[in-house]
Amino acid sequence: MDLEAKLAILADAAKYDASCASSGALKRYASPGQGMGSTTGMGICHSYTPDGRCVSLLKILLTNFCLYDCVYCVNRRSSDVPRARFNVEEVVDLTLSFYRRNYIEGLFLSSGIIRSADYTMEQMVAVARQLRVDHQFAGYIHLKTIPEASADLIESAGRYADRLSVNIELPSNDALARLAPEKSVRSIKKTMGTIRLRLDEKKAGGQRAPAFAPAGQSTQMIVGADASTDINILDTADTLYRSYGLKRVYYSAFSPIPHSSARLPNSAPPLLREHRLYQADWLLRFYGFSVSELSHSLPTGDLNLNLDPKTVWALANRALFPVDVNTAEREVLLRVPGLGVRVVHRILASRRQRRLMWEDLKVLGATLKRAQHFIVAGNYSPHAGDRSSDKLNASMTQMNTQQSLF
Amino acid sequence: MPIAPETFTFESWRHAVRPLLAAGKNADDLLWREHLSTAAADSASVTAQSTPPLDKASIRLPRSLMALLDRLACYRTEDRWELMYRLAWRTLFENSQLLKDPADADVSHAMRMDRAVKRDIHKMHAFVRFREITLVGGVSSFFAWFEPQHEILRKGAIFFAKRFPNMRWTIATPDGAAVWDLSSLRFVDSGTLTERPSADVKEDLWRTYYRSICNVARINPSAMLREMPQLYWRNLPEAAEIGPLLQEGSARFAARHHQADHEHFTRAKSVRRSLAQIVTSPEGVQSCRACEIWQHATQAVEGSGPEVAQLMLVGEQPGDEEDLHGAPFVGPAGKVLDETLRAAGLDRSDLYLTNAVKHFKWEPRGKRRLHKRPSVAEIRACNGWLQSEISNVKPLVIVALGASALLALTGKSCTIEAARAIQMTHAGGARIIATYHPSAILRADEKVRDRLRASLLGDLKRAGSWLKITRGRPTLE
Repeated sequence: MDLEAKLAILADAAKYDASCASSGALKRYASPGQGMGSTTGMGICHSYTPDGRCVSLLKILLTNFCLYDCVYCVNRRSSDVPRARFNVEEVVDLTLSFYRRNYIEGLFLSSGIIRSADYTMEQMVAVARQLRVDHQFAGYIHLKTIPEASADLIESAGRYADRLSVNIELPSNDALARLAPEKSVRSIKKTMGTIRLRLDEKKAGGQRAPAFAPAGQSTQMIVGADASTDINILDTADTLYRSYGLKRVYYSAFSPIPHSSARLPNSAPPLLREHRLYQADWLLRFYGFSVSELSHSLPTGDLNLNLDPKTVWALANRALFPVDVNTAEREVLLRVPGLGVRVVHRILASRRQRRLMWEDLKVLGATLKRAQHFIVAGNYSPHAGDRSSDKLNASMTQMNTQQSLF
Repeated sequence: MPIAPETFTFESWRHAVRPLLAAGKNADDLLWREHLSTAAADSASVTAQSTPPLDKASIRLPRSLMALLDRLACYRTEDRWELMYRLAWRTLFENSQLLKDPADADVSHAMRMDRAVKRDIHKMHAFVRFREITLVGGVSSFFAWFEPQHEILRKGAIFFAKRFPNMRWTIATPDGAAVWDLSSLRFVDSGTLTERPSADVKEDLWRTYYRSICNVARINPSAMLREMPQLYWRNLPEAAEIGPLLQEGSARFAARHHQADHEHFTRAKSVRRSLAQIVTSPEGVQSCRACEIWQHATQAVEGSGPEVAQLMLVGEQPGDEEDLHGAPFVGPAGKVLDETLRAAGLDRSDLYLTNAVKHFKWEPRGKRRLHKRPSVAEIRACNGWLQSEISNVKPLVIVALGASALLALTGKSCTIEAARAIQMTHAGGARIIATYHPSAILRADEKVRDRLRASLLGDLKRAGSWLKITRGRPTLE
């Protein structure tokens, strides 16, 4: 099989992994005379595909042969997709020649499990080692970590890679046991724990400690393949963030895969669900919300597809509003629908110099269409009239469904 | 000597405005474009106005403002110099904390411009695509042509010196070129560069990767367009894949359309909209290089007919005469078509006639050019053009003349004999009727010729009667 055919198969097999970030690495530059590459901490998306996703890394599997039979996975052993396998040198060459032409930021390597977890992990580490040591490659490397791999291999993976990730795959233990019988939540979490301990050691050891995955670890959860509610999902994500210091949890709306098993739903969940989960995830990480607060505003346990989770929360907590943009604390402003982190930052800067009026908020970039119901400004207070939460909910929902989704 | 504002760089602007600022010249009093050139030339003649003059030495602007002005100077607009002056003047004489007030109109405007410049630099880092050149002696060098929105070459090039210090490279832009020779960065006139490679050995692999990593089941063109606006596309080798991928994705939405689910419906609409918008590139089909056929053709042959035609006929590709005339169906096959249309009671001038592939593909045979069937990849590469014609014309019925047209319209490979028995609908809502290409009649044995002719006639009549049925029914758009 020629290289191009292998690439087609092994990129196709990798596309269900949502992560493509190339951010979070340390500042690192190739030295004059040898090697190439740089990372600055800020990722670069080198292209975008018509599915709206970015292409930052060369995201491929080393092989899509796999011993496991995880029902949701297109590469499970019982699936009849075409199979291929790269050797280590092919991946190294491909990465270098793409990087040299400025197509990519680096490599995201994952793999089906062949022979054993350790054998597979060794091959992946060999790719990273050749890039870093033999070719002095200073670009970004993300290695998917095989949960059952030995601690030594995880150690060397972390030495060469910027980011490691172990996929939690499904939000509940039950679902994993049912749909991925060879995987275990315990070993997945233990591996995340091992990585976290290494990251902590590196942090405590400072400059002199050997490098370990400077861009931290992340994971992915498939949404819509089992019956978990959004609150179950967020709860799992929250646990992972807190326990293992994850940089990101990726939510991937289950994509009905070719030749799929009868144990799976036959249609995809709306992509909007994935979008709402990301919004809620952001509320947890950057806006000071807790899962239980969000959960109280969601009687069914699922996020509202028609309204963003912050607006839903605010409508359920009308007693806290309106807030005065000229006096409210940062934490309070962050909870106002229509005000994002950047806008709140600008409000705080600007109000040291002026009393903020309605027009000022426009200039600062607030989404007044949503914020108008929840704020007071210098020359503005919300309209009187029937402003019950139910009415507002109805009118804002209508506004949302009338406009295009994009 | 007067300085024309058009030729300013940040440095010369600084030099020119220093005496004006020192004199306290109010930004609002400056008739900027005329005044600046003369005033700068003769700073002594500038007299103080409303504001007390500053000693030249005391013009010290905050470092953050200088950095901002340096970036604003890259923003391609006429009034940048004026805004920059106003920011400097207001910081000096009105409010030293001006920049810290994002609600101020000037500051807010400047911040927007600043974000655009930073974004453009970032996009340069992302979208430059190098092509390898082998120099004498086997040394490699890399060349990229890039068209930034703003004048950011100098600022954007440093990144590449740090990333590729051990590679010889050149990034050429309409504003000049950056050249790295392994030790230093030089800026030269792009016109002095002669060697511009038009391809690279790895581009096919890259395009394969791009195609394979895209999940067409979740097509979302507006998210793509937001981050990768079309103006960058012509220098991205992978952009040629966008049309076919969107097409494939849009066909999937069409398949799920009857689920009548709001999200799918909206998404499908957005895909169709983008599709129409995307393939209408500024240079049009005449400069399309999405496949190789153009190299041996005279010109691209675009469809012809009224923009409001309700019936569209799609053939395979232009032939020898079409290639020379630049119009579809004017050769021998066109004559057969004309006869059959007349017999079916259809007026050619009411119809929109076009082809699945826009350039003539042929092979030499004796002294002539003999038609050669386009490959699936070529049909796919050309599909964006056809789809854009369909979304412009919005026909109610489309007749696929031959298997290539059928493939282009439905994505399915299928014999015409089999396809004539199936009901098919285009993603845009039109009904598709498959039939034989008139050239098949010309090539056929006498025994089958009459049968094929009768089938073509029957199918065209069927198209005509479908039109009558479908007319009056609302279309999808």
